Amino acid sequence: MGATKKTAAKKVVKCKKTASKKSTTKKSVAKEPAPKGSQPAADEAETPLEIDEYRQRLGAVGRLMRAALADLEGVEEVSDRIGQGAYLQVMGRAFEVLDGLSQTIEVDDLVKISKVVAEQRRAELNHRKLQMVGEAADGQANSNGDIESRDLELPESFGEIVRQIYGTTLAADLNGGGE
Amino acid sequence: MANGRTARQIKMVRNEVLVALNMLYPAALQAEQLMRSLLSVFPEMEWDPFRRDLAYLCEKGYVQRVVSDSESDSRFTPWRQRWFRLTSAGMEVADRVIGDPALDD
Repeated sequence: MGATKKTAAKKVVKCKKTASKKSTTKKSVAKEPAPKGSQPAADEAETPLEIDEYRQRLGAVGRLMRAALADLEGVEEVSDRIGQGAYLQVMGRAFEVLDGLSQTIEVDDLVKISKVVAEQRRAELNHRKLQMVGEAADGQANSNGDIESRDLELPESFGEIVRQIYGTTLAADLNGGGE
Repeated sequence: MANGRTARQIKMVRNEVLVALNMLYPAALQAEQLMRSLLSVFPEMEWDPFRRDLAYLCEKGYVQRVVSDSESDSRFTPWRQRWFRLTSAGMEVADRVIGDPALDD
C-alpha cells in the first residue's frame, strides 16, 4: 500500500512538472509573437523591431506635441485661420527636433515664424479695417460722416508685440547688433 | 511590381505613412518631414514613389492636404513643402478599426 501511494505521489509530481513546463513553454511562445501581432500590416518578418521602435518613438513625439502645443491648433474656419501658418511651422519644427531630424531650432526659423505671425496679424487688421469702413459707409453711422476711428486703431499692445517680434533680440542675433 | 517595388513594399510604406500621421494626429506634417522620418525605417525609400503614395492616400480620403494661410497660391506650393494630416477615415484604417484590402497584408 505504502509503495503504491509513493508511486502515485511521484506520478502526480511528474504530471505537475510536465504541466508547469508546458504552461511555461506556452507562455514563452505566446509572448514572442505578441508585438508582431499588434503591428498593422507592417513588414513583420524583416524589420519588426525597427518599425516597432519607430512607432514607439513617434508615439512619444506625438504625445509631447499634443501636450505642449495642442492649444495652438489652428481654427478650421476660413474666416479665422489667422496664425495657422505659424502653427504649422511651430509644429513642424517641433517634430523635426523631437524626432531627431534636426538638433536645434535656428534663429532663422524663429524669425520666419515671427514674420508669419506678424504678417498674418497685419493682414487680419487690414481686412477688419476695410470691413469696418465698408460697413460704416453703408450704415447709418456714416450719416454725419463720423466714423468711429477708435475701432480702427491697432490695440495698444500691438506696438510692443511687433517690437518683441522684430525687436533688438532677434535682429541683434541675426545682424550682430544691427537694426 | 510597380516602379521596382513589390506590392508588399508598397503596402508597408503606405501603412507606415498612415501610422506615422496617426501617432501625431491631429498635427499635420510636411511631406518632406514625413519622408525624412520614414527613411529611418525604409532607408531605400525614394521621393517620387513616396509622393505617389501620398497622392494615392489623399485620393483614397485617408490623408488630406492642409493649406496654410501663408501659402500665397497653394497650387504652386512644392510637394515637399505641402502639409498633410490624417482624416477620420485614415485614422480608422491606421487603428485597424476598418480594413482596406489594398493596404492589408
